[in-house]
Amino acid sequence: MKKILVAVDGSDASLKGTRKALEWGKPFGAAVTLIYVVPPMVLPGDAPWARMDEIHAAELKRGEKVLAETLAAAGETPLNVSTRSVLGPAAETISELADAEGYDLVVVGSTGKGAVKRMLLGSVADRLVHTCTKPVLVVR
Amino acid sequence: MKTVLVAVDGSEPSLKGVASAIDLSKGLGLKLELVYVIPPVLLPPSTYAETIKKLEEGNAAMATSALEKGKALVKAAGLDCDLITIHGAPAESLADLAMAERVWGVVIGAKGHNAVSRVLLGSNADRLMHICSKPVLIVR
Repeated sequence: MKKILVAVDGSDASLKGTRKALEWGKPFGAAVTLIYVVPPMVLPGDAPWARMDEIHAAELKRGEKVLAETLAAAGETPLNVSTRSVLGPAAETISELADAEGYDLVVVGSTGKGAVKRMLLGSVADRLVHTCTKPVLVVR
Repeated sequence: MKTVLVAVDGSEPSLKGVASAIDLSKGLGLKLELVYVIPPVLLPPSTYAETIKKLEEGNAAMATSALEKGKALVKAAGLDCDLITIHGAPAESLADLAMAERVWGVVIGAKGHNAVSRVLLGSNADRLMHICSKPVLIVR
């Protein structure tokens, strides 16, 4: 258990996931990476492209803020912790990254910001456990 | 001291789950409980009592063999564990068991003996993630 990837979107569940990842990573001295994924915008064909890049850049910047806030809210972080925000379809991007960079564990909150309230498992978490080839910890 | 439940059906992913749970147990100081679930079987009412008896004996033997495989791994790691056999729908029974105060979370193999080989996630793991109130670790 050397590298742990945590999906963060600023929701309560993702904060819980972050805490679990830090708690779990501690005894193993693991490197924990918090990741914020910005899904690409779908805009009508006549939308100005320059504007779309601006939106994505703004969203990525917002992601960095959310990551910093999550890290602060998670409390003490004596571990080797890093953050990154990337653009792409959420679940697929996380799966691919976990595979490509050899993470040992992926942690995801059960319901994120986009989830319908009554559902116990969000669409990203659901898709992630179906696509990811690494162990996935789903936290409520 | 909290407990981690490990769903064991004797399949390769479920034994990988035991290995992950051993790591977890060592790192976080958790107790291990290996759980085998015997699913209910629907038989026509005309089934001979003898047939039912044989089926039950077969199930019990499978449970023992699967749990002993898991226990061997735990023993090899120098730890101890409790073995539990329960009857019921696998995901629902595990989720019920996980509601107990002592339970930290549940570890389950991504697919067990019953899964269709082309899918990455078995039906029991999928269902458990959707209904379990504690963290669920899916291991591949």
